[in-house]
Amino acid sequence: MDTIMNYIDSMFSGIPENDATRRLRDDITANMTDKYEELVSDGKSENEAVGTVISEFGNIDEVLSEMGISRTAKAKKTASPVRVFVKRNIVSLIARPAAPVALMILLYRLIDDWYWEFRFGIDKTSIALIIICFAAYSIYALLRKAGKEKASVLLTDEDMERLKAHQAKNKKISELVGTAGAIVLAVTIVLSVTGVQIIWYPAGSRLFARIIILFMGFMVFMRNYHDCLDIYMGREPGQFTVFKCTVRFSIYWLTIAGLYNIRAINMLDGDPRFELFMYQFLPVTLLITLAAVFVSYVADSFIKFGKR
Amino acid sequence: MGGENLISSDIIRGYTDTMILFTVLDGDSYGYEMSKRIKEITGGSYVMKETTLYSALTRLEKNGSITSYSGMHDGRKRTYYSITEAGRACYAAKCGEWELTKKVIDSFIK
Repeated sequence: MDTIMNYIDSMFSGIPENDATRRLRDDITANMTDKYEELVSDGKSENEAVGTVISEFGNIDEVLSEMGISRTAKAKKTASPVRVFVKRNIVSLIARPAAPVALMILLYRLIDDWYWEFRFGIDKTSIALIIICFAAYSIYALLRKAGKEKASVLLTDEDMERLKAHQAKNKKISELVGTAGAIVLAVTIVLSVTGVQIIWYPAGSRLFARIIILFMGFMVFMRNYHDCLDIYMGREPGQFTVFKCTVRFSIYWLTIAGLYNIRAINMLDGDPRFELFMYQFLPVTLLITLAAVFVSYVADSFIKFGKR
Repeated sequence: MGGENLISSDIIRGYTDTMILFTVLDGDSYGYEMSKRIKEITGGSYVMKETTLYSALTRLEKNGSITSYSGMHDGRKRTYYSITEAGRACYAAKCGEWELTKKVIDSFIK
């Protein structure tokens, strides 16, 4: 409710006080309060009720022009109820990246096994890690649905519309990615557990392996993109850039790759695996990552995302 | 400019006043009750924004179609609106206008 009151305060800042505007403000306050209370008694969470009430508010300037009132010039610059919708807490900080991280672990292990062993499968430790990550993320998602995140401040009308449009659009993408990821994961687990091996060495099936890995890579990136979008849209809509998203992705990816390859440091010089790692895998990975970061930096000048 | 509304906002804009007059045809009402009724009557297809409602109410009061007075409801002070004779005439005229519009456009709809 405070959120709504704050919203109304900022809406009315810079508006001259007279009988008409006072009455308008009282009416609007009473209306929004009624609506809020009814939504809550209908079973909506505080968050949803506040969001609905505010998004169905509209543009106060429309009413003002009808009344022949204009804001004072000073207020035009300072009135801006723009800010965060959802408060981040420690749980969401850890659990939220868990889903893309899980996918990245999967992707990394697929690449690793393809590279070293020409085999489509992953080790049991990684499977356990992936499942833990997905479990953490699912718990987080459930908590979120139950409305456990606290609403702290508000978005403007346009931001609210954009956020809703974005969520609607991304719902389909994330559902698609989620399903595809689940299928790939399931197949991988089955193959690993039953010990069935699909060997790539015959030239033809290598292409197949590459296609799967590229597809996985794309899905992982999309998931990360969607996640970043979600975070920034909920926080500071004007702050999202593809560059930041790619940097975030790169950090996760390099950390995972680094951790998995710590043992590579102990390998003996002259071990062909070590050579492959140091002089092929490592530089290629770093190069691709840097290239991606650079491309995203350039791409941002063409994608005006959420910039006002 | 609602995200979920599939109805053309150009068309709706011409009839917001009509919808509001309808809600007070049979008796006085106040802001929230009116927008709630509008939503219910349209079965949720159209949710009028607060500000659209209030702009229309200001406009209707200015051109004499409705009058307002202060009342109490559920322990809260509210502004009630009632329709005037002029308002009823306006409403009737709008109804006629829509019937004609509907007839014209229907001729082109398959």
